[in-house]
Amino acid sequence: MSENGGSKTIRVDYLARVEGEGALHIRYDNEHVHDVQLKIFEPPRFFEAFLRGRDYLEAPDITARICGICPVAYQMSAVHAMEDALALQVEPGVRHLRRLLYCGEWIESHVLHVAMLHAPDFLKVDSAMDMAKTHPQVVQQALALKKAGNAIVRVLGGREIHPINVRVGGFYRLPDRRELLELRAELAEALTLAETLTRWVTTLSVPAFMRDPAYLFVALTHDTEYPMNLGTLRTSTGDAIAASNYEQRFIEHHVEYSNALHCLLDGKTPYFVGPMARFALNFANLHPAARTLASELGVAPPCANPFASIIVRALEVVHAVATALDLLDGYQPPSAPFVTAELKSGRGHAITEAPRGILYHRYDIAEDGRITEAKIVPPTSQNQKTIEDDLRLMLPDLMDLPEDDLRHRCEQAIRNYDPCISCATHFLTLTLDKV
Amino acid sequence: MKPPLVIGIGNRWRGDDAAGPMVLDALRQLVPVGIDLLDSPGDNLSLINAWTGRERVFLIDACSADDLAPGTVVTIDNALVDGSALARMRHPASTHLLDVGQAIAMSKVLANAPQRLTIYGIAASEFEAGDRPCDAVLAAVNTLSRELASLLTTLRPGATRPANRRQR
Repeated sequence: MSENGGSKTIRVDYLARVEGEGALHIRYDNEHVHDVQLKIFEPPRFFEAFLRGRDYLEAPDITARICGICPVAYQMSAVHAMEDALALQVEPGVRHLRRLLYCGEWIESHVLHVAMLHAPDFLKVDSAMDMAKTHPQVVQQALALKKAGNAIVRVLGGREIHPINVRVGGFYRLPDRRELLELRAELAEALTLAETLTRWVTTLSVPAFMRDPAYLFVALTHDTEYPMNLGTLRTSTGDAIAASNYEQRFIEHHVEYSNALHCLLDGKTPYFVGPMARFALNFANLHPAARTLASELGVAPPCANPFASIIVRALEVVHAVATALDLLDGYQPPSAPFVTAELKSGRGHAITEAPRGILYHRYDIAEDGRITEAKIVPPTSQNQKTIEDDLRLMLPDLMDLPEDDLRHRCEQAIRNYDPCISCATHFLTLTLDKV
Repeated sequence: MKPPLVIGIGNRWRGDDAAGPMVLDALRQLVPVGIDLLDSPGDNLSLINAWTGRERVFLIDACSADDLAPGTVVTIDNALVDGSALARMRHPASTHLLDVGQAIAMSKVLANAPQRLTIYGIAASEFEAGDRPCDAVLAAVNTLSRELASLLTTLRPGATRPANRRQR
């Protein structure tokens, strides 16, 4: 932090534990926050352009390369959108395996964020390495839990990172009985580990902040499931929005300071996607193991404190592990690894729930299966404005904090969203200007 | 105690970077049962889980340094004791990833590191997508595979070669 005349600047050159290249700039004085800008300066990656001219079957594998943490989400949204374009219905066994695969990714991603990236904020340490010194048991349990998630993705997807077994219409290869039995055994201890992690997370000191005005949550909803692959998109104000109508309601626009498009409902209202939104809109369908634990711990929807997202994320790990066990126990193999459909030109849309929130894909394909147009809207892009609003609303009560604490709180507030600015580098420069 | 583990790290489709996985390919034909092989886990946090509770672990990876001719094999006999080479490594750009040195450091903090971790770095120069490794790296892969197979056989002297080894 430096002072120059009447202005005051706090600078953080390296904000660790956030994905991608970005910066935060806040301009304020003793009474007001004048401006908050989450600057994403990482260059555009042009994946939508790469997809043009490629075969529709390539979309799951190309888009999976967008993210090493949530490749399954990209694959799921891609296959569902292609199947929508081709009016292709998959067998129940395939849907079963897709949910199981998604559980693996939620476990991998959430455990990494909860225990390695976000928890250090609450413990006032700089990194997971420091946390391992003070809380080795938590880190060891998290590693074991993450291993369980990795195992699911490896068995169903062919490998732990960037799986290669997902196909439009199903899977290239189905897991055999022996592989699933071994996977079941690997998951045996995971539920206890997930519950233990969640209980530990609730012992952390969560900063007090109640969002006012309330968040507008947006998530998939489903009659019987806590949604991953399927469901109707709903808002916490009761709107139901079909995937085919997504682009009419969620309007992206460019802001000068960011290379990630901002997305607003009806072009004017910020909204919040991810675990907090799913928890708020789907609590009744949370797995009983997670719901019971939530009740025992006194966690109920809607949750208005974004710093408590770490607890909600941990509960979703319990949900994912318990659901994975149920899916493994109830699995009936499909008659074939995948189904096919006659090629035809068309447009397909899909929304699935990535660990960080809804991920929208839309494709136009030609009669020969070539992709002619693609559109992808990731969750972090949708949360950008809400992150900025959180900071704008919480800062007035934090101005008396020592400078280091103020800077830290801002970083922690960003990490509440587990933002994945990209899958590349991770430098975020934070500048606070007091005018 | 779990059996010895050999880890090969690299991308088979990026020229000399294939060195680690190619050593594993050779060992599948040469080493006895009772030796675990792990091919490019992708997520180095998995290394920690993989080597927990092991006495001996061997890790093979391509390495790059201006003063090393391609195919030169750099050996760190026990990376848990000698961290000098790993300390000079460039760290990954992603905070969602660990490099090998960070995985070792994390394991030491958690007190679950193997008793001895031997690292073989095969000096590489070409990483073009789709290329095969250069002749010098291929020769190093062959030599190291034979030497390592002999060593592993001494660690599991009574075992016979598997007809069909399952990959972890």
